[in-house]
Amino acid sequence: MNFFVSIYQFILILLIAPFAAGIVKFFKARLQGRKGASPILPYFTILTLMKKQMVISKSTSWVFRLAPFVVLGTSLFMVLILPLVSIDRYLSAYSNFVIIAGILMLGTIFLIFGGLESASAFGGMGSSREMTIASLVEPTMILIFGALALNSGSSEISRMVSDLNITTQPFIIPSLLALVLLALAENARYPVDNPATHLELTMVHEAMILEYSGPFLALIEYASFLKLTLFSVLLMNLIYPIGLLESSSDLLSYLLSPLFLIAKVIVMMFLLAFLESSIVKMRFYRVHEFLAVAFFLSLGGIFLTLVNTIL
Amino acid sequence: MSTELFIRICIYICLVLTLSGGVFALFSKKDFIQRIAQIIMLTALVCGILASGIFLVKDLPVLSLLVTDFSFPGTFMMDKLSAIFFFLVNTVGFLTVLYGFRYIFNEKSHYNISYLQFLSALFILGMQMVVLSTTPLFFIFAWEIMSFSSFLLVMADLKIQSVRPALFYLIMTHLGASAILAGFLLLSKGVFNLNFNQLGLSASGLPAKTILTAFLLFFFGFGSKAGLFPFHGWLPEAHPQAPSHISALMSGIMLKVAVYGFLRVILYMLPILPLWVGFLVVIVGLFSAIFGVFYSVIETDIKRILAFSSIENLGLIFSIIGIYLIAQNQQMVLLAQFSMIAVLYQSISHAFFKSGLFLVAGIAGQAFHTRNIEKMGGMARKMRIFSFAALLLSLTAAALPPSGAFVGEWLVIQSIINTVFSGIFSVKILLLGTLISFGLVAGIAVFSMVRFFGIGFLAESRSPNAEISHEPGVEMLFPVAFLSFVAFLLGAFSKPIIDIIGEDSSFIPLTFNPMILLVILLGLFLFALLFRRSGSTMKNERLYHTWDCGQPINASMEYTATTFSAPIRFFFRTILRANKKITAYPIIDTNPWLVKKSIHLEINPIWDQYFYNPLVCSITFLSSTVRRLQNGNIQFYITLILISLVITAIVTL
Repeated sequence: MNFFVSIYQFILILLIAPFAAGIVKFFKARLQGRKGASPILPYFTILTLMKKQMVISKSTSWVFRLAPFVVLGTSLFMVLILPLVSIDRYLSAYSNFVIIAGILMLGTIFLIFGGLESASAFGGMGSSREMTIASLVEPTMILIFGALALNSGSSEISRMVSDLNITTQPFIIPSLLALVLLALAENARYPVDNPATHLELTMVHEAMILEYSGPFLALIEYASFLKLTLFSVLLMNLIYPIGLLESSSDLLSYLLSPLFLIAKVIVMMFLLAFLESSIVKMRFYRVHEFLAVAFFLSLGGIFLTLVNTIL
Repeated sequence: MSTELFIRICIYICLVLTLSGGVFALFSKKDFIQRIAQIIMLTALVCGILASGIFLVKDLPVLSLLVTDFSFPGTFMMDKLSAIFFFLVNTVGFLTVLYGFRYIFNEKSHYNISYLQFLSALFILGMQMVVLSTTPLFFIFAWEIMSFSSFLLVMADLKIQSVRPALFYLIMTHLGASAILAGFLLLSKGVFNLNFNQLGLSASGLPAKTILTAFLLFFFGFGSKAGLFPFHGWLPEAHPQAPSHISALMSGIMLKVAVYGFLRVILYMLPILPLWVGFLVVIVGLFSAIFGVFYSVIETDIKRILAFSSIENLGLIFSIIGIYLIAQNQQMVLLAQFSMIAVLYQSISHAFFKSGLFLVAGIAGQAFHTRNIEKMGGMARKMRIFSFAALLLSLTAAALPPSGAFVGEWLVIQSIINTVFSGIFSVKILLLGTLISFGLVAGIAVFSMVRFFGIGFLAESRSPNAEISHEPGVEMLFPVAFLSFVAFLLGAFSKPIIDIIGEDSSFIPLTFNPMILLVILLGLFLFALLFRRSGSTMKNERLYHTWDCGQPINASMEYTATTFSAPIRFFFRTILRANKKITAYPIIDTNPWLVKKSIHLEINPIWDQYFYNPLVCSITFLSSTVRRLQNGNIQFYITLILISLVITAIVTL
């Protein structure tokens, strides 16, 4: 039974991910006074890209061709493992935060290799920036999930989602705030990166994938849709775990859980669009200040936990 | 024939053949003779692998070898700890000798092959004997063989650039060796021919101050050999200068021998140490890790990148040993068990991946005729197997799942999370600090390794006449590929390995199975592949040059290693002290806009500025002050003798 729940979650998230990417663009356009494209456009984008012919640079090697599969594979791993639609599942031992951090890094560095393979300064620049952000995020990630693990008594993210409660354990709030900042950095959103431009001065993620086209681009785009979806749903679940399937759930909750998922995605994406419409992008050489804020928030989280255990 | 007898015989054969292989190489410089010498050594090392492998798998009790009744105690012994390290020495030694089959013949013009072989054999023999010896005297003897032969190997090319690092290394390693010897003598109250067990008994009766002094001496001795901050200055100078297969041995194994020595001392000789000792070890280890990793990010010589990364890895290993000491002092049993397994596991994994990376650097160096990473690139396209092996090694060195190093780091982080709140306040703070530092070091280490592989192997070659059109010879390729697979798969097979190296076989601390992790990941990559196939055929593509904005681009416009790490240099400028000077020369004197620019980047390590330089200055000052005594006046000397006699008399009476 548990195995089927995993597959159920896997399919649901795979289906909803392009919608999440579409709806955030839609909300953003509306907030900025534009009409905006349909939220279901990304589905057609992916399908079209899958059919196109690829143009591959002569400078590249097998690593360039391997990268999209690894990038998508690592995103799929997180979709399969993390508690997004259900908790208490088959593979929950693998949702250990150290593993998740490592898998996240694995996907990132293959994207970076892909960027370097283009042999142009564009790709290299994007790669260098992405690498910097990814490596500086690491200590914060360990601290955030460390604090959550100490509060919930388990290093598994599944257990964190089921055991933590923001109302009875308010000292995890700084950690969750830090996680929000970190999710923005990881998903190449404002204020770290601008997902909407192809200007060389502003871009990080887009610069790396410039040489990818056709199905490879589709794989990478899909991976980033998945990442956006899973980060936002995970955040929502950590803050307020509602509508999650458990081993004892009945048929009705199975039928309701897609609705909960869509509601969560819409809420989170609206908040994201609102945030992106109200702040400006940071200069890259000030990103470390942003990351420092996240770091100190997470440090605050762990100290509150420490104080709590002493009192 | 009983197993124990078989192991004994294998070890004897191993030691004798290693030595005779080396001596045989001295007979003649002919290729034929050198080949035979290498084959003798390979046989020797296979015997060593067999002996220690069987010992570990069968989980035998302590095995004494070469029991003599002479007054000169030369006893060898193999227990689990020495078997693990003996296995590492022999396995990596075997692969480097195999690698040497082609490597040293390619380097014929730089080295005297027969001396090189002789010294490598001595070097390996020294390390084999260090991990087997049971008496301080023999330990130091073997240690000296190891140090001295590696000193000669560092300057094997007899160039002026390598003599200076070699001498630096010689001085540091002998300071360390004398500290270790002094430590042993303190513990044994000056008696020379005790063995380690008797030493432990003798130590338990000593006053705390003596024990602490001895510990600090050992820590300096083994720590300086392992390249701990601030005694690491020699490591990035000496390791890169040696021929690559020797660098692999030095970084992969010799540093592990230092870890072995330290473990032997703290586990078997010293009683439980006070808390601050653990703190000291953790802090020194973390400092080394942080400094090492930052410098490995900004260095441009590939072997120096790897050498700094070794400082980082050894720093982490020592900090885990520090955690073990703390856990032992605080009686946190679980943490102690976890951290000891993590130490051994990290040592094994580091031995494999770091020696593999040095072998990779050797092949890259021969292809580009330089060690400068700025001149490399483009190896992945034609050297597919080689670059795949290098990728696996880099991923392992970056401690990404499901590699061996990842499991090691997981063990530490997990054990800290599990036990942090059961300690006293200062321990809590220290463990949290360790957690943060581990995160930082892990992140930057990934940066360093991505830069190593990304700039060194991918895209277009930055040297027009690099010899990268085909794979390296199979003798060189096999060791690299083998090491990469072992280092990577060490993670997947970590359960049985932990079962072997752990003290208590019922205690397996992993909550997940890394093998299944690997299988899931591979399955999902396959899923992604199927997804790709579903859209259109795999062949639906055409080759074209990189998008260039209408203006042709070439390899000189690629991102360089220096720019790749520019953000790190900028964000951590207060620690790194990088000095960048851009000079612009006008091409036409009258036009200020048409200029040719050149960049000069200089890095002033702060330990040079604030530690080594003041030290050198004060020693020079002291010696020049003392020199004034030597003024050639005989009456003055006689006065000095008189004064010293009077002082001696006052002190003694």
